[in-house]
Amino acid sequence: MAVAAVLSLAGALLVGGAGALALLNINLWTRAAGGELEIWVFLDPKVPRSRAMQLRREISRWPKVRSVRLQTREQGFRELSGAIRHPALQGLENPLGDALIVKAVNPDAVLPLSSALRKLPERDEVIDAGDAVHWIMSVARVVRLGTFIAAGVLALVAAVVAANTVRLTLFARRKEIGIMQLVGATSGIVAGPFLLEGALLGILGAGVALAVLVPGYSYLVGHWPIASLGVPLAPTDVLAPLAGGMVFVGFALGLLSSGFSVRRFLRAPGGGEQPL
Amino acid sequence: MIEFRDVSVVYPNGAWGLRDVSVTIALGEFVFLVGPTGEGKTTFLRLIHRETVPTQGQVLVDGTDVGALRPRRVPMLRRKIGVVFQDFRLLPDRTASENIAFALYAVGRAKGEVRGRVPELLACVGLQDKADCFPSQLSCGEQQRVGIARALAGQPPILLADEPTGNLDPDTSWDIIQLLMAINSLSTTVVVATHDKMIVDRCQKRVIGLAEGRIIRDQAEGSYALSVS
Repeated sequence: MAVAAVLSLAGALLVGGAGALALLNINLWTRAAGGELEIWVFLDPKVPRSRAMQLRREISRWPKVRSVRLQTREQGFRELSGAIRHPALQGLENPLGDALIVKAVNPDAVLPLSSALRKLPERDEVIDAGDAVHWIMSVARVVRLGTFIAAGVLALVAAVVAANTVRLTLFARRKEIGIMQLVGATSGIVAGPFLLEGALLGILGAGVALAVLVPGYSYLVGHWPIASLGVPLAPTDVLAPLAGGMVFVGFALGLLSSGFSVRRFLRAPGGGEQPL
Repeated sequence: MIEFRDVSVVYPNGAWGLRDVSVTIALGEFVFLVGPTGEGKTTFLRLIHRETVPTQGQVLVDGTDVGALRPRRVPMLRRKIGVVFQDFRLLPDRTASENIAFALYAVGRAKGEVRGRVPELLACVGLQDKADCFPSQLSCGEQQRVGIARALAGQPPILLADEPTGNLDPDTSWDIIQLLMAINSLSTTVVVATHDKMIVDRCQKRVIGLAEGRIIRDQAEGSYALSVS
């Protein structure tokens, strides 16, 4: 029964830990994607500089806008020439207009800001990583919800198994508990060993989960196929704090489950073996 | 020492445990509780030990209303009361000395103290040579002596015995009662619930008779009477 409790707790913690790692990486990708949440607004070349600067000031006051930077048409053409280096660009009249680089406060703000900027009459073209960010955010939502539900259900199952494991121990030792209560042992002395048992089950469960998660994630980091495309996984440094968190959650889950069982057992009429 | 004030106990199924019981047991007394099975003897003892609370009235032990005690205070009450059972209630996988030591460790006594106290208690009940015997290796009388030693482990001022001779032959029963009287002579208040007529008649101690949950008699040097007048 103790093995079942440890494995149940390990399952719940494994799902929770894997989900946390997935969400961590998704957050990293979200920040990397969309050029740090930037939206490029290329203005019509006929729009005067003064109007571009006025637009910069106005847009910077919009909600969900972190910052707005102005790239002049001259700067833009210089960067383009430097990037392309084609003789055809030498002596060519600058076809570009001024550009506003708008940075959103968070990924959720990119799409609505982009829609609003597309309505500007002065705009020539608006470019953002909206679709990519939107897709990543959708995935993040699904992963978050899925992790929450799966880990929550497994944690509940694990808590029940752990509680029943402790209940079995309580039942097996009911004579001893009865004698302890008879002679005046406090609830703390009676309950202590069983609470410790529950906490140990939780810690062992965390250990088993980490024994799977740590080498698994380390392997994944070392063999991630799209790291070279600029989509790396978070380094294995994140495993240390995650491990600490999982051990704590395992300990707390085991302790709470056993506490629940002990409390119910001791509150039963006579609490354990009936002395008289 | 022990006082019952208009105590009644009604169980959840409607059965009466005790009805309007008022009685006082002084410090150092030896009292027999007599009556047929189911007449309230065990309920009486359970009230003192706070295994049950009165539906009505008050039970006072050493001035404390035990019915009104908060759960976390109950262990302190129980440390003042030793209990002896008909079926001994020993832990079968522990020796005589370990059974006694268990009770001492349960109330937080230190190892050194326990090591010194256990042989004293075994000697007190005449089992100093049986320290390492398991209950299965002891006679019923010896097992009951271990039970008494365990009950005395915390030096309680009150000792309750619920049918302590119920599983014993007459000679052994008398030995046990003599042991309880010796304990009483050291100022421990002893209350014995029994329907052992021979013992009660021979001892000539205070007898409280119960019938249908009520006290029907209370005699200073009483004898056992099965019929209810």
